[in-house]
Amino acid sequence: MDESELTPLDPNYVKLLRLVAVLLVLPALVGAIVLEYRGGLPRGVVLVPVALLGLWMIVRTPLRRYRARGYRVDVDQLRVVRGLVFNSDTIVPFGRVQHIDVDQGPLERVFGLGTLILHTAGNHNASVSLPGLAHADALAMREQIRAHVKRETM
Amino acid sequence: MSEPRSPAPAPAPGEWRRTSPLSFVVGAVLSLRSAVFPMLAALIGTGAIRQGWGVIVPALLAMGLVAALFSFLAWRKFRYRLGESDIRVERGLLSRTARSVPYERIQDVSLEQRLVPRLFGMVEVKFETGAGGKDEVRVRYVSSEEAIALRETVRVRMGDAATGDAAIGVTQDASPILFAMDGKRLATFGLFEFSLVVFAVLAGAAQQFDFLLPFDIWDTKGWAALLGDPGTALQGASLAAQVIAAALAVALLSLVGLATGIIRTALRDYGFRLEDTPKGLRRRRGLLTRSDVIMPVHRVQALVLRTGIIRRLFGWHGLSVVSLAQDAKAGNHVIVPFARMAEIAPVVVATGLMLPPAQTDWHRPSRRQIVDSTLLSLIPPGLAVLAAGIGGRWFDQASHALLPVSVASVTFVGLLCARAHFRWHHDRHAIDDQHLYVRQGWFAPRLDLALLAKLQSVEIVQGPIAQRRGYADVKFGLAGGTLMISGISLEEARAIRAGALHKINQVVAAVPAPADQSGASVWSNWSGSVSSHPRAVLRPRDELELGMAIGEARSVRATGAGHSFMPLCQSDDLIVSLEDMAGTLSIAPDGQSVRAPAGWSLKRLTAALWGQGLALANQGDVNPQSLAGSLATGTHGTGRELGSLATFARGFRLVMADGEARWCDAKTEPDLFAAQRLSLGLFGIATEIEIAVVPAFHLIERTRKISWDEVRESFDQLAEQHRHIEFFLFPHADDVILKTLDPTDPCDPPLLADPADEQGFGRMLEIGRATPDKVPELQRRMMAEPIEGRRWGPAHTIFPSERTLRFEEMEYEMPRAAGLDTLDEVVRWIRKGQLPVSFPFEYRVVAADDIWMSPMNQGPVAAISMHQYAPMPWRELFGQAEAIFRGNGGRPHWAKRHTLSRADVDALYPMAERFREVRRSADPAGKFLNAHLAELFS
Repeated sequence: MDESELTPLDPNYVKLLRLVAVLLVLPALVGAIVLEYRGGLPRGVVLVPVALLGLWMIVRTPLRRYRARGYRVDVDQLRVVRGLVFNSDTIVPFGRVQHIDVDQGPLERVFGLGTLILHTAGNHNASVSLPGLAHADALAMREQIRAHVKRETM
Repeated sequence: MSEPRSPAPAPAPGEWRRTSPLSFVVGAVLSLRSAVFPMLAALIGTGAIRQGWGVIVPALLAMGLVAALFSFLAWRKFRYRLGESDIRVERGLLSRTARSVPYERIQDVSLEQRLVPRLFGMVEVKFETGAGGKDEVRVRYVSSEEAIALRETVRVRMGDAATGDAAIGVTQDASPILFAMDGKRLATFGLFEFSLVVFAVLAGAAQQFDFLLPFDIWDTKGWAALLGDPGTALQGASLAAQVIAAALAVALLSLVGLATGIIRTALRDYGFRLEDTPKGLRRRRGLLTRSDVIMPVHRVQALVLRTGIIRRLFGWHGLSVVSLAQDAKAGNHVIVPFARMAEIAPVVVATGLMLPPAQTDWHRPSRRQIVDSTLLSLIPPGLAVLAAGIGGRWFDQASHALLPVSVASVTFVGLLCARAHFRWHHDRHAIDDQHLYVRQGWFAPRLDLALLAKLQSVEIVQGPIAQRRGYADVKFGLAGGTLMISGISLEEARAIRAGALHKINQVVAAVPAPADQSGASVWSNWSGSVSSHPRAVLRPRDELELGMAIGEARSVRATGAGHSFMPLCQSDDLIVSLEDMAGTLSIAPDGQSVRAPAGWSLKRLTAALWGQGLALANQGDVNPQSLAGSLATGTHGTGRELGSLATFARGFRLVMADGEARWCDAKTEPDLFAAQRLSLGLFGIATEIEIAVVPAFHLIERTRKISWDEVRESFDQLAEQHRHIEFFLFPHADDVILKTLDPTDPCDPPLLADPADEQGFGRMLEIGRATPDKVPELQRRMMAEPIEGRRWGPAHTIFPSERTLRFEEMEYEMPRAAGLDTLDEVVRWIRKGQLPVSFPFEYRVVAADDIWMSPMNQGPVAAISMHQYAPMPWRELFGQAEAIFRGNGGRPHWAKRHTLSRADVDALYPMAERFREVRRSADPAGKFLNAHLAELFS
């Protein structure tokens, strides 16, 4: 019942994750090609596994990570779910939010995405970030949550 | 409330102030102290020391002058100001720094007296901001009187004002001492603080300053030569001598350890005093450096109860506070360093928390998690044995390693298993309405007590194995600390999270809105459906304060636990809570009645009564309500022959609209008493109530499943057989849950496990909330499960059940004969429309009474309660059901949802107008009315 209620992230987030994966895989691939032609190893021993792994990381993993993530905005709280292998499911009550940031990195800007970050006073989860939102949505959520933020002394 | 004499004139806001002129002397001495060693080193290094005193004395003098000059300049350039909204500090010789800290960011004001300043009577005032010491503001040094005045002024501004505490001033010396340590305790504590840290320090110092030593400490050859002689001598000596030498060494080591422990403890905790002041907990301690810290109670986020491996065996524990101001210095917030549990309990209460009560419903970690983690930790020793075995095959020498490795591994595995077994038996956690308790640890277990309302966030974490095996860790965001429950089932993790969040969100809703809304407070009832924005919420401590508050208020309502579903406690002016009122239980000579503080919860009252061998004859099925509130609304339990709680009342002490207190009972004020028996709080605010009691008794509760048809036929018969009887009917299911209570033999040991599976029910409610069409099917499935339970124990522990799931409720008291048919009619209506009513109906019986406004005053009744899960829609459903109840001659419970109009009240209650007349004469100005009550009773 829990998983079905989550709001998925912006589909562009898959593209962002893929781009990040490409940037990660590329150096490894270059290294493998160099090794392939200079290393004197049998043909394909390095290049083929690296290429396959890279392909998996670029095509499959981002999709799975995207599907494992999600969020839900309730009247009084935000729920953030993330993590494929190490799954974490966090709820932050709006009344406990100290301040809110919306970040946008250069890659995120390319896809029109933004990251919403809620800061709480807790030592654990001092900031809970929700990446992969459409930037406009992130801004709207910030406004919505800000209305609930209370000034409470600790 | 007379203001106490203040020790020094409080600084007026907006005025720039300097620290005490003496502080530059202190500063000079301190800087001189820290400069002496480098200077000596420099003199030695340059060889100037050989020139004799002729050089040294002038050099020292020059240094002293320079130190004094800088210190003086620093003093001149330092100034501070207490502004309207912040503290400003300006300092700096060359580059000037100006810092402003808003009062609301200040977590704590502490006073510290180090040795040197103390000699001069100077104190350092530190304003902690909780930013890890970064934005801290220090004012060094002022006289101790001024420091106290400064602290008071800042404290008043830093948000205590918002809670209204500031108005209540009490002289500091009168504060009760919560905990103090005498010399004997300090010495005992010191023994347990056995520490060899001094060796570590010496070794570290040797390493750090080895250039100063006349020999090379790391020169092993030199050492060997030095020790050569005694070493060989030792070899030649007898075995006995060697043993004696070793014993001496151990004894010496122990002595050093003990001495270190005692000295360190004495330095830190000498003269430890913890006081309960109106501003918070005040802790003073220290021998050379005397510190004086006040921790406001509302800043307490959690408590940690610690012990040690050895001290635990002797029953010693320590208590510390988790609060935001803590991150400046670890261990800063120990409030009880070393005490018995009996001494700690009252301190815990003073912080607003509670130690887990005896009947706490503890839960264990998931067995799977323990099995998994133990298995995982078996891998390394297993690999070691494997490696030793394989190694033995290939290398002959390695086979010698096989035996020791195996033995070590087996021992290790044994330890791991013991640990797992221990964890299974001792790690546990519990959650109740207010608190979260987590007990963890093997030899030195610690117990974390957190207030749910203070948690910041809740996270459920699952690793790869945990995901497959269905358990999880729950991590809580806690300001100034960490808190985690590890390895519990996913369902339980979700339930705990839901419980915590519910509490947080409920409290957040009640937090005063931002200051721009003129500082109005918010009050909300238990289910969250009624809220109010009064001018103030007050907690008077005695009748005098209450009387003054009432006298000054335009209108006032008293609140208890907020268990009313009607806006009875709503007020736009003043809401008072009697929770903090002083008072005790007094028993009438004949033992038939007691006088109890009206603001006590039924839980507190019944526990206190039990301690005196007494009990209430009947109770409802929850017990957090206040005594006054439950009487004023006609709250009841069930029992064919037993009346509502209002029938127990024998007399009331009331603070009336003019602020004066008076006693009323059937003899002294017959009219007022008759009306006050079920008063809806319209005549005055009760501070003490005399109620009938019975000798303490034990109850056994039996729950079982029985078909709805069977109940309809045999209920009257069953009601005759059992002292208390009720049943729960899910409208879409064919069976009901029948619950009976009967007196039982007190010799049976108490068995208090609650048979009701609230978690399973909670999950069902959540599914029903998301998909209301499924409610009927869910209820049938739930009722298909076997239901059978028993528990027994002292009556006051058996009457109430835990109700953690929030609901909205309507209740109608039907003429007893019409009860079952009415319920049948309502159920048929719900089934016909497949309506999503997700909570069960509750059916109880109450005896007749003669109270003016009691719905039981025309004969015995059957009470039918209709509930709905709080987050789901209820208004329309209740409205339609109400028509059926009214059509069959029902009258509503005053504190539960109803829509009676003034005309309805007149039609249903012949004494209504008389009731209003008494109200008008008792409270002509209508102070105790609110909109809802004015409509019915003005």
